[in-house]
Amino acid sequence: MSLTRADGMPSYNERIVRMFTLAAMFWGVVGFTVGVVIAFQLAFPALNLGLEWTSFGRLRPLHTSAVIFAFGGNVLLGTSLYVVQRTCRTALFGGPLFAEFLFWGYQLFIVLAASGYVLGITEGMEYAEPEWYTDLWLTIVWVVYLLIFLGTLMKRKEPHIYVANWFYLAFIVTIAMLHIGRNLSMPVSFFGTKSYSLFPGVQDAMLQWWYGHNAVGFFLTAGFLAIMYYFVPKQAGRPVYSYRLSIVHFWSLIFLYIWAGPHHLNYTALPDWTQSLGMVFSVMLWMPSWGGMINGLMTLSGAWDKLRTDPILRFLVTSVGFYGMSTFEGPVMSIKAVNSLSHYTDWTIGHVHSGALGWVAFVSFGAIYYLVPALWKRQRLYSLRLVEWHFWVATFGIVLYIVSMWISGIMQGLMWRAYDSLGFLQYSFVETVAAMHPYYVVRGFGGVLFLIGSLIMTYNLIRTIRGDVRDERAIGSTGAVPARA
Amino acid sequence: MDMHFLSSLARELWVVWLLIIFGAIVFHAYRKRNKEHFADCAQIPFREDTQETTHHG
Repeated sequence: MSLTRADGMPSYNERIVRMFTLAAMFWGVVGFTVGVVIAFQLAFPALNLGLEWTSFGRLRPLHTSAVIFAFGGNVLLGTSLYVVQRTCRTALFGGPLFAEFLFWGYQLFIVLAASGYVLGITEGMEYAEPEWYTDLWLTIVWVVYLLIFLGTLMKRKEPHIYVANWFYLAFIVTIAMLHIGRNLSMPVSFFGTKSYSLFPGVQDAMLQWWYGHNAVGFFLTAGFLAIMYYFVPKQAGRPVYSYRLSIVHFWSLIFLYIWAGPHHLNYTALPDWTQSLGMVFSVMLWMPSWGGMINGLMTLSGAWDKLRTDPILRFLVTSVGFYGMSTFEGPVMSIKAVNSLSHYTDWTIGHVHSGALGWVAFVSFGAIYYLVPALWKRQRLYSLRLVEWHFWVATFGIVLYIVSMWISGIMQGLMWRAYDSLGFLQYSFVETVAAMHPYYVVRGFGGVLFLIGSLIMTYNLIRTIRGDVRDERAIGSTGAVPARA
Repeated sequence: MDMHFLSSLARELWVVWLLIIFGAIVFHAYRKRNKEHFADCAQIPFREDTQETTHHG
């Protein structure tokens, strides 16, 4: 099989990136929809329908896995294969066979995991719910992914490995380590679905949050920072603000993130020194997080006007802003004094979603809007006005979501710790639940807006893929100015 | 003072070793000599569709 085209250019495997992009669009809408459903289940419990398969407990992991591993995962796999080929100027290692196996193998993992949740097959560990047979399958798929990525890096034509690939590689290697470490478990029987963790008690809890927090750190952060380091410069048409800062950003993130997990177990049976260690490392994470944010934002230095005219760039840059905001909030919440108020409340849920919706999803939308015309060889997107609509509808949805969860969460925390003059707890638990109801409705409505935004995107992308171009003027333009390319 | 003692001492000082490695990375990144090289690396995303291969120092 020839790996170079007639004109001497390497023939990149773009078909596989197209497949991952379509899968990401599909799973994104599925994941956001399930999120809206469970948000309203919390506000209106009757929506559990009285059925075990549609109860909150089973749909909640379906939502988290669909948005993180199905939507986010397909975005990461697709963009990583796109970026690694282009920044190494070589086709994928292993050829189409490995790539197709990776794609279909990963989709099978998603279906195996999701079907298990609905049927009640779960290890019950947050973000690591799939049972042992799904875990084994993902391990095989992930090793193939690592082989493709490493092999492509090794046969690169570009002498230097671009920083985005460093972040992608850190994501792939660390997720392999976390996945295997967390899922060391003993199946009860060979043909049964049930297994038990090898680790007892507090060790198991520590292992869980070593896994859980680093899934945030290396799946939802390192992987998407790789997207930032490639797609922000590409869309802005200028190199990253400081390549040297990106090197320091990378290594400081790698050195610090892996230690931050214990902050999920403040004031538990975990030894006190371990909690303090996790808190200190979480606070230190401010530095790489903000260094990275500054690097992403300052890439626009001298070209800030593009934010006004380019809604795709606006998605990317806003995502970096949300990254800065949620990585400021995270260390604050890891401080024990703050955590004693925020832990177990909706504040945590709001914090996670400012990162997940504002950072992860927005940077993904930006990358997808960049990729679809590039991959299907279209002159431009079908409609940039629809991108504007998507941006503002989704942003408004995020604001509703996180503001309602801040209010609800802090109120909940304050009600739990309120005493009356005789030293009795002032509120019963159910009173706190009732008090949160209006905020749950607002949050659900915010989710609806975010979902509508993703449907606008899907429509826009389908029309783009079909080759349609909408005759339109930019929103706010007065004269006969043609829409921006 | 045997080898066992030395090796356990070396392990206990892990923060120091990591700090030294990190310091070396920062030095490498911000060394004046490497300025051109890294400025050139930042251009990699814009070179993808061309054939020329630049060699870095």
